[in-house]
This record gives sequence, structure tokens and C-alpha cells, in this order.
Amino acid sequence: MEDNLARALGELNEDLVYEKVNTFKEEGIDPLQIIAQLQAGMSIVGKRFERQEYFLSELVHSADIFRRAVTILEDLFQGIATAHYGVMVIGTVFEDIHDIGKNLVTSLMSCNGFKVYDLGVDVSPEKFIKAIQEYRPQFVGISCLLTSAFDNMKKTIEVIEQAGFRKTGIKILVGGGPVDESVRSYVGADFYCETAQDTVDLCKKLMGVSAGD
Amino acid sequence: MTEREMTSFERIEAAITFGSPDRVPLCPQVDYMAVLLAGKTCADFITSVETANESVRVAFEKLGGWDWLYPPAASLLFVKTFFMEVKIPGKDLPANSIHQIIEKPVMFMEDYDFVIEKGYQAYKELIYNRLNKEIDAEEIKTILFEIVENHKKWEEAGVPIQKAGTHLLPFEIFCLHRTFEEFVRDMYRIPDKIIAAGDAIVMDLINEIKNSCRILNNKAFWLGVWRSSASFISPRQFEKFVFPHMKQISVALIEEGYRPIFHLDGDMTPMLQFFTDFPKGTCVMALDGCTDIRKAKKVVGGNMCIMGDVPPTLLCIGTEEEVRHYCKALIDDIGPGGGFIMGSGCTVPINAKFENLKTMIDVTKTYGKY
Repeated sequence: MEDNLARALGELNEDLVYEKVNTFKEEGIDPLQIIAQLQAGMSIVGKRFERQEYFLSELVHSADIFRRAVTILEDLFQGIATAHYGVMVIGTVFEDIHDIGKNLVTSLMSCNGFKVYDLGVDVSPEKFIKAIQEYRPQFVGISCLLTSAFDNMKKTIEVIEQAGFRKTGIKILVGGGPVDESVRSYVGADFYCETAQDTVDLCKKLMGVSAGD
Repeated sequence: MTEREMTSFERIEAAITFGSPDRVPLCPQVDYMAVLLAGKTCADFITSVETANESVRVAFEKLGGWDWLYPPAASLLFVKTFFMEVKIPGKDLPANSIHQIIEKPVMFMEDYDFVIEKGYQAYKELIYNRLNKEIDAEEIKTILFEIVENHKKWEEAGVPIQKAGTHLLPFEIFCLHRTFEEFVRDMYRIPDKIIAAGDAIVMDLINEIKNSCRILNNKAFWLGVWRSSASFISPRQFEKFVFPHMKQISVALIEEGYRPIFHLDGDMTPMLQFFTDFPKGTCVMALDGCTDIRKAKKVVGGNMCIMGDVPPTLLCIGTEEEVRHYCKALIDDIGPGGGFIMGSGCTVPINAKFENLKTMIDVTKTYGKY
């Protein structure tokens, strides 16, 4: 299979992506290979975003194309796991209901081979704990837009720590409009991600996956 | 002979019109933070014009005062009238949380045709109906009356009020009502409809701004840029979907003596060049710490007054020394030649440290002298 499916997605050529996915499907190409090409396309988009050739709207559009392309293959997927790099639990911290950035992280991580459990907005520390117990993630993402939610982030991380999960090697990532390195330090997180693409790159790196994969 | 100190009115005017201010003027956007200093709650702040006004008066006195006052009851008015669902402190949120906007789809793809055919007023009614939000005209009239009276008192005491209303460009309105993800889809699939729907409402928006300025007796108004920055869209998309209406609205109003304040949230660095298109000394560009303010100074600094951009995060968790250093650097780099107002990046957060905000104000008053 040629890599022009990846290029089509990298160039956000929506019609061409669907046309190729349909063609490959009819030709009986392994759906996992097709997905791998789509993920390679997402990597191209990610690199262009990092070079500021693409912006958030292009990331959102690429994730939308990816999701729709995968839907074409859905009937071939029974029993095939496509998320193989790791697991993330994510949510907007309690008393904050902003979710654009958090939703994009969910989309991009999912498109890039991670299983993401999105707990939504206004997520209490107890909900995070319950999800960590249930899904055993490598990564916990906590997002906020309000500066007044910094202390809630801090409290959530303290609760996760008190529950003993940090000893298991779980990594806590924070992000959102006003979040920077000083906030990461203040709330006691492991990493701060400036963009959704940064989250993907960081998690891949921590899982030993090369950025281009 | 020592020249007399300028009044705040003169200082602000000189900064905007590229005259010679005696020092860098100050405009921290003090909003909910004031209630904590006044011993009230956010719920009080959002329900009573008098409480909002009194809280800001207490904050103003405790902090030593500044030059350009963010309207004390702006959030109250916004919560009552804005055409999105808003979670309200004391009702939907804890009493000391700030209000939050819920972004959920209240406009659908087919509604662009409705806008094109029926216009802005019909569209507003449609959205208010979908939101189940009733605007009590009598209540708003009373609120506006109180606000105008309070503003008069502030101005009589020598403190100019920053602006009349907060207004949005067509792009922002549709984007907020569609939700960002859906709107991105629209930009790729039905770009012409977005533009046509914007064209259909732009004259009504101009009239709405004039009306709000008339009622609130202030020629300055905000154009809120919340989704139009490079934190969301590309410069190409800005050029295609945002800037034509921004220019049309602003230029029409500037010609009649109004003053746009571009409230630019997010990173506008790649879009700065567009702002050279406005007549010199007629507008203000308010930055929130995400845009490269030094680049802004290079690109528009000789033409448009820049306000900003002490970051909210710095005000919350930075030290006094860090704030002092940040403000001095702004005065050194953005201050020369006038055309600069020291401001907070967007609103001063409710959990900003008092001493940090005080430092921002004190440093500007001393170190910011021309």
C-alpha cells in the first residue's frame, strides 16, 4: 500500500482520504494497515502544526477526517484492537466546565493509537480515582481554563498521590489556556503540555514510540 | 517649573491618540476579584449593580486607584443578556465561583440560511428561544439606569470608564453558537454560507454597537476576539472569515467618532499585520499575554495603542518580584513613544494575589513616568 493515503490526510484532502479508504477496503487490504496509514497522516498534520503551518482548526479538522475514515472500516473491526500505545484518563478539573482543548486532546490521542477515557468536565478527584482504578492508565490528563481552578488541580493531584497511584508510575499531565511550567510546579504535576499535539508527542515518547509512528 | 500631573482622562486620551502622556496609564481589568476585597461573594457581585460598584470602589481604594476603569457591573450585564447559556455563581455554581459560559450547539448548519433570509433580530430571537432565556426588558432598563448613574459618579471623580458594551463579530457569534468543532466543519464545507450570513448581520451589529454606546454614554466599545486568534484558527482563515467584518464594523464606527477596543484573547501574533489597516490613533489593541507584545509593538506600535499584558497566571502564582520585573520590562520595551497602557492580560483573576496587583499598579505609577 502506498503512503499517499497518509499524504492525503496530511494535506487535509478529505474527499481523497475517503475515496482511498473505500478503495483499499474493497481491495481487501488489512484494515490495521489502513489505520496505520491514517495515523501516519496524523503525524504529518502534527508536524505541520509544530511548524505553525497548521493551527488548531486544522488539527480539529484532521481528527474529524480521521474519525470518519475509521467509521468506513468499522464493520471490519470486530475484535480488533487499534489502540495499542497506552491508556489515558482525562477530564476538566472540578468547578471548571471548559472543554475545547480537553476534547481535542481526547481526539488526537485516540487518532494516534491511545485509548482515552474522557471523564468530561467538572470532574471531582473521586471520579478521577475511580477511573484510574478501573482503567489502569499510564497517563492522567487534567485540564482547566480558569486560573481559579489551579487549586482544584492541586487538590486532585494530592488525592491521586494519597491514593498511592503515583508510586505505580502513572504520569500526571496538565494543560489548558493559563497553564504553564509555573502552574505545573505549583499543582505538582509531572508534565505540562502547551498544545494537544505536545500531549501526543510526550505520551509517545514516554511509551518509547517514535514521533513519526 | 514643574508641569502639572495629567488627569486620567488626559493620560488615556494621550496614550490612545499618540500624544504625550505624563506616564504609562493603567487599566487592570478588575472584575470579580473586587468582591473578595470587599468581603462579598461572586453571587452578590452578579446580582446587584450596587454591590458590584461598591466592591470595585473598595478595590480601587485599597489598590491605590488607576486610570481606566473596567465597568463594575459589566459581568452582571453580560450574564443577564448574553445569548449563550451561562452558569451563575450562587445558583449553578458555588457562591464564590465566577460565571462560566456553556458552549453547546444552539445553532445548526441549516440556520445560516435562516440568518441570510431573516436577518439578525430574527436570529437572536431564535437563539434566545432555544436557550429558553427571557430578557426582562424592564429589569435591563433599570440595571442600565443604575450603571449609567454609577459611571457618571466615577467620571465626576476623575475616573474614566473604559467602554460601553462587549460586542462580537459574526464569526465569533456563529462559532460560539455552533461550538468550535462543528464550526470548523462549516469552515471547510460551507465557507460561503458563513460569509454570507455574516454579511447579512453586519449592519445590524454596527447599529447595535451605536445603540449600546448611546445608552451607556461612552464612545469606546469592545470587540471581543475569543475564537479568532491563532490559538484557534489560521491567518488565512482570519483573513477570509474574520477580518473583512472586523474592518467593516470598525471603520464605519471610527468614521463616526467611536473607538474600538480589540479585546484579543489568545495568540494573535501571526495576525498582527492586519491591524495596520486602521487609522492611526483610533483604536486600542488589548493583549492577554499570549500574543508576542514586543512583535505587536514593532508591527502596529506606531499606529495603534497597545494595552496589556500582565498574564493572569503571573498575577495568581507569581511573586511580587516577578511582577515588578515583568511590568518594568513592558514599560521599557512597549512604553517608548506613548501608545501603551499597562493592563492585565484579560480579566484580573479572582485568585490574583493582592500584592501582585498592587505591585503592577505601583511600579507603573513610579517607573512608568515619561
